[in-house]
Amino acid sequence: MQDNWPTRLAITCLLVAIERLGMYIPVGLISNPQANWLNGGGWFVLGIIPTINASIVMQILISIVPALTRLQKEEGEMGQKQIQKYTRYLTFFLAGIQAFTLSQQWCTWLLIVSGAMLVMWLAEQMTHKGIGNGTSIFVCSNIAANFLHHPIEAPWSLAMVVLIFTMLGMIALQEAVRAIPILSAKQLIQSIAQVYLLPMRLNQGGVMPIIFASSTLALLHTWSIWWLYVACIIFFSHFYNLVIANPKELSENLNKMAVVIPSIRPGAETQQYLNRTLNRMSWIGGIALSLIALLPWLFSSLKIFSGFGATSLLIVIGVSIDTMRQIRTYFIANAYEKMI
Amino acid sequence: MKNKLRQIKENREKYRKLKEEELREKTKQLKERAKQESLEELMVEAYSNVWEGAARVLKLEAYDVQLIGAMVLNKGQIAEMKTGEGKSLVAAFASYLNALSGKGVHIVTVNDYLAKRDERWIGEVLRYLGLKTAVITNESSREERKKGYEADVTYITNSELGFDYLRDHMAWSKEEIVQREFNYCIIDEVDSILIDEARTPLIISGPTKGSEKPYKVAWEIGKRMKEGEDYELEEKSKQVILKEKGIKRCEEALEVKDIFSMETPWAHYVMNAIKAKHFYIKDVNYIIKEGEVVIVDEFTGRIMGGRRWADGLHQAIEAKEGVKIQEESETLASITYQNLFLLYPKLAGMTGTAKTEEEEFEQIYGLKVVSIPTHRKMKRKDYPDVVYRTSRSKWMAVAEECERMWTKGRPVLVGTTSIEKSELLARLLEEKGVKYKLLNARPSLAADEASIIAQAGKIGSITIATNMAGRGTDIILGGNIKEAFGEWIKERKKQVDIEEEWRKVLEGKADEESEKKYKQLKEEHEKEQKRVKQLGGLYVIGTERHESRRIDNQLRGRSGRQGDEGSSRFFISLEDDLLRIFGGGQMGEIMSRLGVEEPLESAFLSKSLDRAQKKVENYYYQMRKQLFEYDQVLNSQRKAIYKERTDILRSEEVGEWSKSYIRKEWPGGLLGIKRGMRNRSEVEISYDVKKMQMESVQAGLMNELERLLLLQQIDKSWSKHLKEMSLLREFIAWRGYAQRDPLVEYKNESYNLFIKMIEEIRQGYAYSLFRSQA
Repeated sequence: MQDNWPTRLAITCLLVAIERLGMYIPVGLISNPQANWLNGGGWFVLGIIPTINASIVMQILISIVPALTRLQKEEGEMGQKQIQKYTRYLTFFLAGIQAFTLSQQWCTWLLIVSGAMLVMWLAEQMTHKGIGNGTSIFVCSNIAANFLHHPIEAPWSLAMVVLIFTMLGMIALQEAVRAIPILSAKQLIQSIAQVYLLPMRLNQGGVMPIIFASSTLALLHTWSIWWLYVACIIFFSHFYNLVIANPKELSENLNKMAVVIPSIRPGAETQQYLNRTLNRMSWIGGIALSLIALLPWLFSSLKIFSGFGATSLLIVIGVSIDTMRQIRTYFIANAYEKMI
Repeated sequence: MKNKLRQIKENREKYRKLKEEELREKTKQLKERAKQESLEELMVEAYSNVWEGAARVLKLEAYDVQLIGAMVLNKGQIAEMKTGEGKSLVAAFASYLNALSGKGVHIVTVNDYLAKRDERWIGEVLRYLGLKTAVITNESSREERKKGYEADVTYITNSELGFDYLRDHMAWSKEEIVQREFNYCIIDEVDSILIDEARTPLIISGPTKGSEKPYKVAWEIGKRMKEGEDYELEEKSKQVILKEKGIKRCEEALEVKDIFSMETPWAHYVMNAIKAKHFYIKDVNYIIKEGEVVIVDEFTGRIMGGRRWADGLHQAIEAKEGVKIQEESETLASITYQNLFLLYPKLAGMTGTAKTEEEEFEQIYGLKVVSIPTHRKMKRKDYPDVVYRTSRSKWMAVAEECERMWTKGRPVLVGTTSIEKSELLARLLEEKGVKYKLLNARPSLAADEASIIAQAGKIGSITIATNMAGRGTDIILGGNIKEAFGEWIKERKKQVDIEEEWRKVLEGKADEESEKKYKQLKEEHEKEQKRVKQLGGLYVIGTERHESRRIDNQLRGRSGRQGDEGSSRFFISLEDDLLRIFGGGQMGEIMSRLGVEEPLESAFLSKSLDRAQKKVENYYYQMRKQLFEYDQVLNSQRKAIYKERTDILRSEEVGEWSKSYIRKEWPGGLLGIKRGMRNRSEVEISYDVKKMQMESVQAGLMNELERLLLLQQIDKSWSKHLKEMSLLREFIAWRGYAQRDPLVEYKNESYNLFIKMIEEIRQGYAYSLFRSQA
C-alpha cells in the first residue's frame, strides 16, 4: 500500500517540471504584452492561480452558506468530494474570466482555460501520488522560479543576514501554536495523568490576511498609507481566526467529544475562555504578519525583497515545513519495514 | 478460463476409470511436482482429481460454474456466488490445489457449526484423495490446535484464527505456539468478515482494578436526566452531549464540585449510562442470558458470547439491567480482521453479496470481485417496496400478508431486524391464529435453528426470523430430507452418526428400514416440492431496510435458490431507523404526500431508498477506511514487536539479545538507534558476574531467566503502549485546529511513542535482570 518516498519524490519533480514547461509553450495572440511565452506566458499562463482563488472563495462560502457548511462537516469524504467538485467548477469559471482579459481569440481563450484546468489536474495528481499538497507545491515552485528572475542587489553578506533572520522569524510565526491543555472524560477514569493538547496556530490565516489587505488597499487606491495596511491585516487576521476556529463551534465540539479544558467548565465558560485566547492570538499574529508585510518597505533601500514579496517567502516556508513533515512519515514507514 | 475448463473436463473423463489408490497416488505425484512447478500448471490435473473424488464420495457432480469459481479462488480473488450454488465444494477445489505445496490452507467460516460441517462433509473428499484435514473450534485444546494447523487443510472460524494468532504472540515458550506461517486462506462469507466485522478488533484483555459502584450510581443519575434539557443525543454517531444544566444536575446529585476532574471523574460514567439508556436496547442490541448481558450481532442476529463493549459501556448496561457488573479489563493484545487477513500472502473469498462493496475490497485488501453466473437461471422476482407511513400500519400489513399466504399454503420467511420485532410480529400472528415458527438469538430457539430452517420450505410454514436466517441458511422447497431423515434415525437409534448414515443411504448400503424410510421421505418431498413450486416458491418478506444493501440481498437470496421459483418484497415504514436517521429531507416530502393508512408502492421510492442506503454504506466505508489508515501505523509496530518477540522465543540462546539490550542496542540496530552506550566493558563485567551467580545455582538458569524477563518486559511495555496509542488516537483529531493533517501527525507522534517504548523495554529489562536474585 505504502509506496516508497523516492518514487513519490520523482513524481513530484516530474509534475513540477511539466507545469513549468507548460508555461513556455507558446499559444499566440495573448494580448498582454508583458506575458509572452518567453517569460512564462505560454499555455499555462494562468498557472495555479485560478485554482487557488477558487479554493479561497470556496473556503469563505463554506463558512457562510449553511448548506455547504453541512456538506463539509457532516458528510465526511462524500461531502469533501462534492466540495472538490464545486471548487473545480469555480476554477473553470474564474479561469474563464481571467483568460478573457488575456486573449484576443476564442481559441486562445480555450487554450488558456484548458491550461489552467490541466494545471489543476496536475496539482490533484501530485496530492495523490506525490509529496505534499499539489496546489501549495505549484505556488511554491512558481515563487522559487521568480526568485531567479530578480537577482538581489544588496551586498551578499548583509542580504544573507537579513534573509536568514527573516526566515527564522517566519518559521517561528508559521509554527507558533498556543497549546491549550485538554482532558477527556474517558482518560480520567483510566487515571492517565498525561495532559494532551489542543494546539491553535498563532497565525491561522497564513498569508491570507496580507492578501486580503493588499486587495482592499488596491481597491481603495491607498497604497502608501502603511498604518491602514497594518490595520487591515490585523482586521483580516481576526476575521480569519474566526472563520477557521469559531470559539462557539469549538466549545461545542469539545463538548460533543466529552473533552474539557481543566478547571474551566464546559459550555459558556469554555466559549468565553476560547474567545479571549483566540482574540489575543489574533492580535499577536496580526502584528507579526504586519511586520512581515512591511519588510519590503523597511528594506527598500537594500532591494532584498524587491523581487519577491515577503509574502511569497512566507508561503514557501509554510509549504516546506508541511512537506517535510510528510516526508518524515515516509521515512518512518521505511524504518518499520526494516524492523520486520 | 474457458480453455482451462475444457481441459479439465477432458482430463476428468480419464480419471473416471482410475481406482481409489490411483487417485491418491495422483495427489502424491502432484505434491512432488508442486515443489518445482507453479500451481497454475497443476490446476487441470488437481481439479480433475477433486471433481472425480467429489463425484465418488459425495455423489456431487461439479457444475461448470463451480469450476470457474474455483479458478477465481485460486487467483486470490473473491467469487460472488448465489445461495445454493455449492460454495463449499468450490472451496474444496482451490484448497486442494493450494495445499499441494504442503504449507497449509485455512478455510475460514463464520461459526463453529459451519466449520465442523464443512470439514466432515466436504473434507471427506480431500481425505479420500489423501490430504489431511482438521477442524479447530472453540472447544479445541492447545494440542488439537497445534495438530490442526499442521494439517493440509484446516477449517476454522475467523475469531479462533485471530485469537490463536494473538495468543501465539503472547506465548512463554515455543512449545506453546500453534500456528504455522500463513500461506493461503479462503474466507467464506468474506463480506461479513472483512467488512461488517472490520470495525471490531479482536482483543485479549486482562482484568484490572475497578469497582462496580460508580456504574450503579451513574445509572441512577442518568436514568433521571431528561433528553433535550440535560443532554442531547447524536443518533448517527451514537454520542451523548451533556448540557450545562445536566452537568450541574449531576454535580448536585453527587455532591461534587466538578465531574470532569481527576478526583471525581463522573462524566464518563454518566454519559455511558445515558448511552445505555438510549442507544442500547434489550432484545435488540443485547439479551440477558444467565444473568449476563450478551451482545447480539446486528448483521447476523446471533449472540456473541464473550465479546464485550469497550470503555465501560458494557458495565453501564449491566448496571441498567441490574445484573452482576463484571470487572473492567485492559487490552493486552489486539488486532483487527483487516490486518489479520492481510498477513496471508494469498487470500481469496466467497460470498453471495460482494459486488456492492467491490471498491472497498479492491482498495483495502487488493481483492478483485468476480461474479460467477448461476448454474440455472435465476427466477426470483423482487417486487418494489411497499411503504407505510407509520410502523404500526406496516406491521399490520405484514401480518395480513402472512395470513393470506398461510391460507394459501405458500411458505413465507419474514426477516426482522431484532428479537424484539420478531416477537412483536409473532404476537400479531398469534392473534390472527396463524401458525408460525420463530427463530431468533434466544438460546431456547437458537438451539432448534437447524430443524426450523429445514422445515421453512414446507407447505404452509410461516417462519419469522431475525438476520440469523440470512447468511448461510439454505431453505429447500418442500423441506430438507436429510434433516428429516436425521431426525427419524435419531429417534430410532440413540448414538448415531447422521452424516455416516446419510452417506450409506445415498450409496445404497444402508439397512432395509432406512432404505424404505428414505424412499418414502423422498417421494413425499418431491410431491410437496412440486406443490410449493406451483404456489410460487418461497416468499421472502423484509420488514425493514438494513443499513447495508448486502444484508437485504442476503435475506432475499434465501428464496430462488438453484433456479427455484420465489419472490421477495420489503415492507417499510417512514418511521424506520434508516429513513429517520439518514433519510434526509426527501423522505419528509413523501411523508406529507402520503395518506394516513394508505401504503405506497413505487419503483421510484425503492430507488430513493437505495440511494439512502448507498449513502449510509459510503458513510461507514469512509469510517472503515479511516480506521484502516490509522491502524496501519499500529500494525507496523505490532509486526516489529511480534517479530522481535518470536525471535527471542525461538532462539536457543538469548544471551546475545540480553547483552545487546543492556548495551542499549537492539540486535541489528533496530530502528538504527545507537546511543547512550555506557562503558562497554563495565556493563559486560557486571553481566558476566550475574551470569556466574546464576549458573552456580543451576546450569542454564541464566538463559531461562533472561528469556523470561525479556518476554515479560516486552509484553508489559507493549500493553502500556497500546493504551497510550489509543489515547493518542483520540486526541490527535484536535491537531486539525493547528491546520495539520491529523494522520501525518499521528504517524509522527506514534513513532515517538514507539521509540519511547523501546527504550523503556531496554531500561526495564536491564533493571530487572540486575535486580533479580537466584
